[in-house]
Amino acid sequence: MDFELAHFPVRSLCWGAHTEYREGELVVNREALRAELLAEPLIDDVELSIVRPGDRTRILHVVDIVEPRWKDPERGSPFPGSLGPLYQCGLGRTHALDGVAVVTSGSLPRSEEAIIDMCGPGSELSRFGQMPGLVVLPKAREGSDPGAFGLALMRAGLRAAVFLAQTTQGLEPARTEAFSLDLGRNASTDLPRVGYLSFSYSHGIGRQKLFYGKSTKDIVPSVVHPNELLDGALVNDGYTKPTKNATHDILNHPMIRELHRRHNRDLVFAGMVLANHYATYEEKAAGAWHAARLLRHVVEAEAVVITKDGGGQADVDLMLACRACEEAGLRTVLVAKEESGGDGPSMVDVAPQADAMVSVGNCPEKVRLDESMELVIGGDGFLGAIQGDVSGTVEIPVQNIIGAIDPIGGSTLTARPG
Amino acid sequence: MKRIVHYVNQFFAGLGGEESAGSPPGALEAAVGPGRLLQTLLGEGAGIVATVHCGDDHFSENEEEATARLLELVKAAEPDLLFAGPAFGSGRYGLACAGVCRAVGAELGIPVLAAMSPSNPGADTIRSEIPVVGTGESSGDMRAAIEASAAVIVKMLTGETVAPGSEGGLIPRGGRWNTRVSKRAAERAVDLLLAKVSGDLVETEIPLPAFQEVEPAPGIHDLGHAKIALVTTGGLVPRGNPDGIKSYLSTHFGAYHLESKEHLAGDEFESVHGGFFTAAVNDDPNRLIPLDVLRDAVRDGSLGGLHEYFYSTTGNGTPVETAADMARDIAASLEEDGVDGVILTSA
Repeated sequence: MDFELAHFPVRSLCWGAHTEYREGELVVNREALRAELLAEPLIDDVELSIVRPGDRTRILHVVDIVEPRWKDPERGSPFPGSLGPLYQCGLGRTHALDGVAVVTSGSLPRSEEAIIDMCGPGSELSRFGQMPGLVVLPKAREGSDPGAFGLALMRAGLRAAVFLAQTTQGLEPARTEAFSLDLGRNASTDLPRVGYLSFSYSHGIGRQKLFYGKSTKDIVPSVVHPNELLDGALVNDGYTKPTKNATHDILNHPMIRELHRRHNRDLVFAGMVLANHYATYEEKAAGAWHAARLLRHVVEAEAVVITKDGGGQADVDLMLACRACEEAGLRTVLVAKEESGGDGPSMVDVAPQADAMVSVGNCPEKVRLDESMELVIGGDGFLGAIQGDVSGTVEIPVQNIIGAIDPIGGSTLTARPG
Repeated sequence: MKRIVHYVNQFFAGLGGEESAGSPPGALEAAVGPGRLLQTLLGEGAGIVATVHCGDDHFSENEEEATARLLELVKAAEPDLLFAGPAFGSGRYGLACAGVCRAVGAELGIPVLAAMSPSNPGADTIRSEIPVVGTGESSGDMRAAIEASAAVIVKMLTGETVAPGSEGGLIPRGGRWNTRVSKRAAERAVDLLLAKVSGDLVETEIPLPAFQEVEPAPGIHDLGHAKIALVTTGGLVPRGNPDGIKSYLSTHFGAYHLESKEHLAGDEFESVHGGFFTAAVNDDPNRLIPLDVLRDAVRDGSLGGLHEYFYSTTGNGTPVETAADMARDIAASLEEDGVDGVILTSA
């Protein structure tokens, strides 16, 4: 399965009369983009802003972050099913605007605060504080159902992403990147066959990833091609708890990229299974067996990396899957965020087989953001438990800086005993 | 010259051993005992301008007053830094060092440093907030303890911030702390996996936490005479969330009176849980706190009675330790109210 990303790096982002991409400069016609987003029936109005690294700007209530993507409409949408008709992903060429983010912001029910700081300590903790962004802040039509508005908000982010990236149509990319991965068994190598088990947040409307536009709540663990995830098959629906991955992360999936990079060098990337975080223990246990069986007998892996998409209940999936895989003869490594308060345990479940884990950081640890902001986009108060002046110095758990804790391994943050 | 105040107990102040442990706070305008050694190591750039002391028993029996008095004595000496100890393995002395360090740090805002054994209970109370030099268990370790402390003091006096547990010689803060490493987690995970496959001994980044085994309470044999309470981690609260129960990383719980209600109405209660789609619960809160069916059970005699308060918090992202603290408080008040059993519902 050959997939190619055509890269168009963005060095500057500004408003202008015509939406165009020229040699690293992305110019956006604000009114044209606004008109595109107002095509969403549940969106009454939309506020658009541009933010740049170093700006004294804080973005609040971040819902999702998307990388602009475009592909020839004859080959479907860059986000099939989630925006536009279904078509297969992960084949052929897709255009990507590198180093720029479409950021959607909005207050959805029971959201937890997710912020991006464009300067100061917060910007150092997240890659999203270090790239220019186009912030989409829609206003819901009066009386809209919050779940339906959440989906409209998600589509607005995807629409903006496609709108920006279609400027590269017909242009030569700065570079291309090929992701060739034939998942058939290659007998000519003795390298270890490594599989990837990726759990996805899947708690229903507004709290889930969509796979080809479908809720992941009731999917069964499935073998998918890793390139599908790099090409828009999996999208974040509506609400981002800051420690769940944004669509931008999935499109640049650090774990899949790492396995691709080392394919036929240190290992054979044998394939992956996409699984969900079921609600009940019985389903979780069954899902874990199912995933382990697919990895062992279909993917034919001998070792597997497992990532989760959440905390608490997600630890149960991680541990059940670890146990099921090890019992099926697969060596495992688990990637986990930690939730340690004081000397207490940092996970809520353990399996004795979980002897090799990688930490992506301890979520509740407070960080002090002491840069004063001139502009706050997205709201005039923090959501949830965070108290303080939105434009001033505030101490917040590191997890509320979106991108600081990256469950699929894209950050160099880790936690150690101190 | 930088001014240092040294805190010691009655023994190291030269006032006597256990028989003088009741001696009240006092101050000497010179280095005494271990302070003399410290003074030689510090050289001329820094001087111990006062030694403040207190009997260990006196401190533990009159902590508030003694702390206030010691704070006055320290303040009067106008120090740039306070050093307390070394207390070695002595628990009462260690706790006094901890108390004095904490008070001086908070009130005077100057750098403070303590020295004691990692097993000293005083170390446990301050090691996450104040740098503590780790020492041996007894004064046989005096020279090494003072040398290690002098090195940290010199660093602090140059204006450099020395964070708790941040360097060799200091007692670790305990718990897990974020730090940056050179490789991204994805690369480290693959490295770890390949090492595991090749049979190498691998080092996990997260040691398996040990969980306390909870022994189930004996069953209730006669439900017809049992009083049952409802407790939830699903975040059900009166609309408006009067106690500010957090939607994640919860730190406290609420207790809400049922006011003889037959069922919970959706326009009076809501879930503030941040980890599930709450629409169904908000529509019918009885599906999280099953008041309606329990009222029926009491009426038909299959249940003795219902406790008139329900307890609620959110279990979303809450560290186990915090959850255990809340659970202990809830259990204590349920026990006090004569509750025999609990139905615990989660999100």
